[in-house]
Amino acid sequence: MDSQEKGGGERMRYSGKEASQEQLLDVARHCINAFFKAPQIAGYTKLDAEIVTGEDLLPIIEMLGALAKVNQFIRWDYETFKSNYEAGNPPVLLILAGDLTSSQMGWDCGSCGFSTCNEFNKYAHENKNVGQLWAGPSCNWKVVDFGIACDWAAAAAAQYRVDNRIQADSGSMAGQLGYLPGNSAHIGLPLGPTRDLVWYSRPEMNKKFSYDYAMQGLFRTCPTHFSAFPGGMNPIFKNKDEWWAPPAFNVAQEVPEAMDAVYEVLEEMAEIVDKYGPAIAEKYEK
Amino acid sequence: MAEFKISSAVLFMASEESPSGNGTALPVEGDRGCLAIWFCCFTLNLKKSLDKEGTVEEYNEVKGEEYYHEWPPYSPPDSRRKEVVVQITRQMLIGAMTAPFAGGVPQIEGHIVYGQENQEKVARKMEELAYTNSRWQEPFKYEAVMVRESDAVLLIGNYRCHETPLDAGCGLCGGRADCSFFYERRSHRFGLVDITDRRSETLIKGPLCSARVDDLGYAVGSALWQAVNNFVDARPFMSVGLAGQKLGYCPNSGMVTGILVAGQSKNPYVDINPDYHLFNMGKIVDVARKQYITPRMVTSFDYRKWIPKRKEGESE
Repeated sequence: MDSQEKGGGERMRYSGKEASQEQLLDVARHCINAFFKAPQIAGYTKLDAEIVTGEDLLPIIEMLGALAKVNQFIRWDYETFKSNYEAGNPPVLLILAGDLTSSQMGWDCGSCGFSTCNEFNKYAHENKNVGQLWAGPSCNWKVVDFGIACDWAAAAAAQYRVDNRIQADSGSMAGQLGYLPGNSAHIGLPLGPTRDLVWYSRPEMNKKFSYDYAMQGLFRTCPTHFSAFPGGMNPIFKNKDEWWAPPAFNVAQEVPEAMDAVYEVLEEMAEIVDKYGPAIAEKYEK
Repeated sequence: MAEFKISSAVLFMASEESPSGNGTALPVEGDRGCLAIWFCCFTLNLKKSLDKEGTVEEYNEVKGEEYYHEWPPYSPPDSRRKEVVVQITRQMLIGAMTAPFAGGVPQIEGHIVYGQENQEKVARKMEELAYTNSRWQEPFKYEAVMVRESDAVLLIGNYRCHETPLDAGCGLCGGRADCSFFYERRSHRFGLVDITDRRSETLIKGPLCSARVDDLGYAVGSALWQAVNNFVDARPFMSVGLAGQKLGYCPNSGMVTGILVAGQSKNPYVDINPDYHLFNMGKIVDVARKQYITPRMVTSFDYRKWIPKRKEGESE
């Protein structure tokens, strides 16, 4: 930002790019207002939120980078965070959190799988634990409330025409690093940088994978689409143009090595948490 | 509309107005007179065409007068107002369907219920449910009043939360890193959930995939955001969703949320009295109708022959 004196009055000139980047923080505040203002069904859902910017994004990016090794979906988010950070246009990350692991309502609706809220609360108290993304068990009406609130935060960002995307991965990584303790669910909502198509049709992914990689993914995820006549009960799998010569077939098998890779990543993530966790926790101890 | 067809020697002007029905055929090459006649025919036909089918008259038809008044309920001016709210409710449902979902997976269905009879059915089902759980009794009865006072009821359901979970081991339903909490409590083979046994001791047959339930929240949130942007009042309710589900709305869903929508002077969903099922606008108006009638008969007279007048100095 430049300012200059002219004719007795101060004139301010702003770089559009810098101004829009700075404005992201204000938009984040608006989003958090919407998050807290969102209508609730249960009326008891405890919500919490925090804004993470600049260098504070690095631990979360590092966690995403570890997980990206075994998950292409997460790799998209990792690459987008990383490249925009390195380009000097880091997104502003909202961490939206809620504690959904108890029910005060006594509605006994059964959606959690228990006959009464009391039974649910007892089970939750004794079995509360963390899954791959969030902790549980959860009261489903509080889950709905949390979803409404997160949606309102994202809608507020859209209202300000800021590219954004609701993310389980950046949120849960923040939760595992220790952001907003005492909450069972953490969702990430990156805002910006301010240009078209940051989090969708991402240019960061250009030239990051081959045609063959994309097709192999489709073979694994949508095998029925590539199946030949199934009357023989072992259809040829059409994995090449001349799929009949020689024919390939689908085989389901357990692959222990695949899980080994996941465990390696989990260990790496634990090390990252050890590295950054204490400093992150310190803020909440004050 | 005028349409032109050009061949090598003859130019045809085709119009519905032409005598042949197919157009006027005129020689063009080397014949100025014919060309002039053609031009006159062209402009004449074009003018006729525009006068009849073009913009001027057509848009003159877009006119009218619309009177809106929210009282008495369901009167033509009020029904006109309600119609607008129903249209906004449709937009809310589209907002719900375009909400962000995990993996972008479609999973939302919706029903819009409006009109006095249909809303009354929902309200009565809520009142019926109110007496099945002491914790529900007061709020369900209050909210049944709100259903009657609404202009539309939007029911949004998730048709995957009980049958086709996210299967990501997220931990939200049971706090486990796999989906075993859900599958151990559901009838299934190879992870394919059998939902044909719909019997349940509870109103909602759980457990549900909470990640899908979370997505239901996003759908409801987007619908509510659409309402706010249109300056109509809207509020989500568990009671309305349960009643709607029991009445068969959102028939494929494992969990349904109800949103009441109103475009009235006073938001019907806030500033609620104690015993709201006994003290609300409908009841108060009905009591006024009841109370006024009797005193009117007690002090009756033949107004054609005598009307009591207030005397000078008589206390007001």
